[in-house]
Amino acid sequence: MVIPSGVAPTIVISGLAVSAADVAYARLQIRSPIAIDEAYLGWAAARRGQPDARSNRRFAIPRELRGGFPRSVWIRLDEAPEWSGTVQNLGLLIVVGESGQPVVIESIALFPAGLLTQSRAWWEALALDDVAEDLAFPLWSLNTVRPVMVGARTLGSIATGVVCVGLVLLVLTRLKPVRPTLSRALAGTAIGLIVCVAMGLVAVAAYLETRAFRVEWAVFGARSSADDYRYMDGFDLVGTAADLNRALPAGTELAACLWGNPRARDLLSRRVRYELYPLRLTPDATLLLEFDEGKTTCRTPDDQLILSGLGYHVYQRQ
Amino acid sequence: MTYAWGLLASAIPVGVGAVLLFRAGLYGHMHVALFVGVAYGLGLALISFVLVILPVLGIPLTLLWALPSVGLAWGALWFATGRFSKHVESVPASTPASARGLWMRAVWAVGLALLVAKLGLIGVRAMDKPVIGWDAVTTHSLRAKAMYYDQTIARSSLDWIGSADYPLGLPLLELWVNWFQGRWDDTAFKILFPGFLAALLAMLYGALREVVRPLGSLFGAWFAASLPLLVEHATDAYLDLPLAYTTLGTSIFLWRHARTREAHDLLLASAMAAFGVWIKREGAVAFGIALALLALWSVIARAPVRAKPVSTLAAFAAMPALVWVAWAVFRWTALESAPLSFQPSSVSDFFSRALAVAAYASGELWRSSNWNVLWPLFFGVWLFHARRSLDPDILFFTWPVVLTLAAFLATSAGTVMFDFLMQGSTLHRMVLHVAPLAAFSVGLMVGRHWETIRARAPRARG
Repeated sequence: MVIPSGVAPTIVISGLAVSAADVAYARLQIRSPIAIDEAYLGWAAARRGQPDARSNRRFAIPRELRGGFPRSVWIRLDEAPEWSGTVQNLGLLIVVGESGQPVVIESIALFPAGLLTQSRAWWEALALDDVAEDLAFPLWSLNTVRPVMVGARTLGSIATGVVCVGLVLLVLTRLKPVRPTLSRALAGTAIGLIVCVAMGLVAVAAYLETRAFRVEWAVFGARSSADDYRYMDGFDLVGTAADLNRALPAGTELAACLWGNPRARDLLSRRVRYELYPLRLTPDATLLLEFDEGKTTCRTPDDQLILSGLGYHVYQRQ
Repeated sequence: MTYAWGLLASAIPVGVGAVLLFRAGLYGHMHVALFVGVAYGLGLALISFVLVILPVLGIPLTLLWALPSVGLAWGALWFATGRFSKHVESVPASTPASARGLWMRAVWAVGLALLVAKLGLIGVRAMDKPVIGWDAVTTHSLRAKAMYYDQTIARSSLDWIGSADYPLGLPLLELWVNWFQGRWDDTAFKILFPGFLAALLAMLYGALREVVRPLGSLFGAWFAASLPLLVEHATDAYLDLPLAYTTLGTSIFLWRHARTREAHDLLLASAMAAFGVWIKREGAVAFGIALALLALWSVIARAPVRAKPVSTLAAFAAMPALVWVAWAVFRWTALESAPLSFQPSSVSDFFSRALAVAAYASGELWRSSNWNVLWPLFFGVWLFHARRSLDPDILFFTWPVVLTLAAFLATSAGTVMFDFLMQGSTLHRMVLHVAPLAAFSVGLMVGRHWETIRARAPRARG
């Protein structure tokens, strides 16, 4: 189901007859090119001896993973007092503003309460996919990996806390008054705790790597470096560099007209410098390179166009 | 074909290193995993040292010239190691394979297969996208690209590209891999990095096997292989993972030397330290710390047979010092670009910042997702064995970690590095240099403890 663009598109699923008591969670599998802070799942329920209930729960939709992977959003319903009786209609309102980007709802499913459902919802709340996506595009993740959050705390701090408890128990086993049987029990508990935490983190690491691999493969797999860079740069810098290197002798110096905030300009200048070599990017060069992508002009009216290609122009500065 | 040529370019260093080690009579002197792991670094170090000499001699930096030059240097070393090699007592693994039960063998085999699969996945992740990392694009991979097109190490290129503080070891190796592609390829040279991770884990497993049983050693390797930032660095082209590899190698062979007293181990430690100095500026810090600890061990530690301190230190220091001095002389005399500034802050600034640095670093070590539970275990294990601080187990694995972190944090508190630290861009990369040492330390101490418990158990006595 594709929700067309609009300020707040709405869909309604009617004709249901679901007992609210049998449902604790709703899960949406959704693909949205932008993160959406404000969305509502509403319902209408018939209740014996009481007026019909109409209510909703607000939720947020994370941006789809690069490569087009959908995201799962779990909404807890059974905590809402109005979630009772027989649910007859479900409605979805998504406040997307004027983005013009379609949002795809792949499925809406209702789940009963239970350990498995709760575990799945808890797992999704860890947002491991966001961490994996960062790993797939190693810009900041080479400095530090984005922390996995469990509520307001990081998974690392919780794991560290449990391991510290284990270490304290091990220290206790070394105290003289502790009986050998108690000492063995303490040591066993401590080692069990530490091993469980370590194994759990190994499993999380394996999940993150596998997921990062899937994202990378969807975005970069079986494509050329030029295609990959085109995706990362947002325009065909590699093609421009190849064109210019064919047209100009090695060692020719060029200045580039860049765009964006200072940080983005700095990043872009590094990429252009790397890609253009053996042409050299220097700010004082007499040749000026402008890209259509940036919609930015640095030339003066006296500068003469000497070379032009798909998405770029080179001017001789006067 | 990118994979095939990349694998060939990576296999040649392993072959080069392995044959030299074999020629020196070191096969059987160490566990086969340690042998292969160190052979990779030894081969890469030899290639990068040979390549830097070619432009000095006026020889073009091309594959056509590089292959015979590397072959010549390799032949000379083969001849030299053959003349001076002697019978070396092997260091036995803790338990022969036949002593393991079927169940243990099955678990070990599955664990090893999974580890190999994980490394394969990391290899594909590295090779399915071009180089992205900031430092790579800004400096060392651009230098490699410049060397590829210039067919020499042009001073003007080194100056133009940026800070001259980065030594040339890795750019030369990236150049080496790309020669085999026949063109400049933004992806191919990244094969070096999963290679460094695989070699690091092989060294870690092989060294642990000398003390710990196979399954325990494999747990140790898995523990290190699950450190998220270590794995992330195997998928792109940064200098930190190679330096972590050489730092671990240096410590492992110093530790072995403390047990075997063999000159071979000291020379291998020296070669690894020299390679570290050639990879990244911080390699000189790692070398200095290793040298200080070796001096401490030679002079103060209660060694059963006291080592000869001066000759031991000279043998270890010769190669890294030569590399460092040669690079420093070139850097100061030939290059014009300014080095990174380390203008010290005032004493009062230092103390006010030191608290902030300590709080930030300790919080990050405990809370971040980079290291799983490495640091509480590392410091916990150290606490348990604090009385044995001068034993080689702790001297060569625990102290380098502590001293490296202390040196980095003190430098950060006292210089402009403070801003980089607080932005979060340097701390964990610095920690990465010593994280494998910390993982090895945890594996070693837990393994030793476990072996002691087993030895005391009635079943083991029987």
